[in-house]
Amino acid sequence: MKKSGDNKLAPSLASGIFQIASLPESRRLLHLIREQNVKTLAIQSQFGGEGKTFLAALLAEGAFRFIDLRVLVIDAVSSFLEDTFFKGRPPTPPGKSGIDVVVAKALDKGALLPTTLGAEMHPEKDTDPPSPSDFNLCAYIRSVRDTYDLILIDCPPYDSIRPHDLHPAIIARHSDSSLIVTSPRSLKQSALVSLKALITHYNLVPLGMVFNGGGSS
Amino acid sequence: MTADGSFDLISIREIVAFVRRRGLLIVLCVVLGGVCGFKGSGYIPKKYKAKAIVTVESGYFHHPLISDTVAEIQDPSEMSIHRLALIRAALTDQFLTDFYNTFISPNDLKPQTNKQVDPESILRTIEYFSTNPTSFQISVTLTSPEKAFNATQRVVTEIISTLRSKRAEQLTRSKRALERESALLLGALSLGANRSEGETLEAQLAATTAQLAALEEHFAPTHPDVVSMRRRLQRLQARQGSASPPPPQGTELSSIFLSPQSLTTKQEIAAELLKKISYLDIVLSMERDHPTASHVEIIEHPRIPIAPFAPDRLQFVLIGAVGALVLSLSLAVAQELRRRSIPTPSEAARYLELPLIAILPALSDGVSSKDPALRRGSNTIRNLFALMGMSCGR
Repeated sequence: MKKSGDNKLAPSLASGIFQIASLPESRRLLHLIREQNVKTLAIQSQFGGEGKTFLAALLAEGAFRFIDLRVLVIDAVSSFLEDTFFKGRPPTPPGKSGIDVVVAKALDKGALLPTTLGAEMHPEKDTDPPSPSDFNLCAYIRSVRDTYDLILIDCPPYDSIRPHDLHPAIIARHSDSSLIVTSPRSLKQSALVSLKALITHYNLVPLGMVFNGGGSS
Repeated sequence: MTADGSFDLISIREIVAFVRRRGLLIVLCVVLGGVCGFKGSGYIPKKYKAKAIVTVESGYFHHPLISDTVAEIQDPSEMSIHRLALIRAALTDQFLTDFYNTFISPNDLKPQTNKQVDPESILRTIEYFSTNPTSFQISVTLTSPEKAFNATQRVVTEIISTLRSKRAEQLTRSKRALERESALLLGALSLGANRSEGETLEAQLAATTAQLAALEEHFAPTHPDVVSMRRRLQRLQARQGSASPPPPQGTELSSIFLSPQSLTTKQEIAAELLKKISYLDIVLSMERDHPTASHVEIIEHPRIPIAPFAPDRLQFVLIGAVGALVLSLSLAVAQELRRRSIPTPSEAARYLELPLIAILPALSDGVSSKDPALRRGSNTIRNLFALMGMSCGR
């Protein structure tokens, strides 16, 4: 796990993110999250490239800039979120508002499965016992929950879960709520049917759906 | 899209929206198709059709000596077929070959092998069909208006002359048959006359012989009365000596005429036959001298065609327009179906039973479009949907 601070965006993206985050609509979204008393929010999608990472960065920036929150962004998909959006920022001092980014890396296959859900999600990994050095999401969230005002988790897409990825359904289970990001690609009938099947199968209770018109199609 | 994954039926509003979306494109396609049809018709060689109308009256089939049969009333279709057959019979292979050599150019009909053309192929340039039970339209289609006119005139003339000659042949055959019968009958009558003359001669001979015998009993052989009677007898015997011809071998009818029982009607029948022959002569003469009396005539003579018969530009324009309409409609409907298969974000949210929190539009100005991470979400979020005209309550 790495930490970064300074609360500055990478220069190439700073202006864009800031502009968008400063829109009244963005602030309203953040207030909605606050109103719903969501402290841990999983950002999920069915396919890769639908805009989860950007939405996570946007929400983090908005929460820090305009609501003065201390935000933790967990990059569970190795999307280089830190390098892309929050490069070079120092860790946020204790008790201050800011943005920290942590990259969740599995040290061993299937080791991130913190509960018996693991057997359900990754039945083929049953024979691999979790390693003590692995990232334990459940324990980690519990440990940082009181330290941060908002924890955003950038989840891997459901359609391409790699062996060392945290399963998005497990992340959702350990989050207060989630956001489903969709794009034109998700609007195909077959994709929608399978997405609905996913939601039903994993008993997900998302806060809502965000459609990204600029996502992959 | 409905909650169960199926799609709604098309409503009137959707149809109106479809017409609004695709109407202009469809109209443009139809116009373009019409223009293409119009232009395309210019590349097809022009053909001219000259036509004439010929009538074959019912009287054509009536025999002047048989007036109790009106075939047209009994079976008009049969007579119509008969007329068609007569017209086809006029177009003999010899005529068609001459017709081909005179009027048809390779543009009209290409020779098949060794400059020979199948008469059936030549016949395809000639069209004939009935316009009503007694009238037929006869037309010829060729690439030159003058040729079409001349060819039609030639075909019509051939048909008329063939029909008239066939009619004349029929009447002539009847006349000849009557003449044969009348000749037999007249022969029979002259034989009957010879018979009565012979009987009289025999009676006279018998009487003269009896008178001579009586005179010879009373007078000398040199008595002038005896000599005179003997000379008379000799003359009668000489007359009887001139042998009468054997009776002629005739038909059944003439044999009836020859029977003694029918002797009384022989003269009447002969007179009737002669009357009929005379009537046929009159009819033949009339039909030969006055074409209108032959029951076959041209009621509409061919004219030199002014406008080409083919290609029909209007037809081509319509075909082009209709083809383009069908094609453009098919494409538009296919696109529309494809579009309908992709629901809107709000339809998708309704299907997923989730509130639609935000719609992030596509990347635009203000942010570097080269940056993939930004492109995916950013600009996008600039309008962050009425970002959240969101329905937050779940």
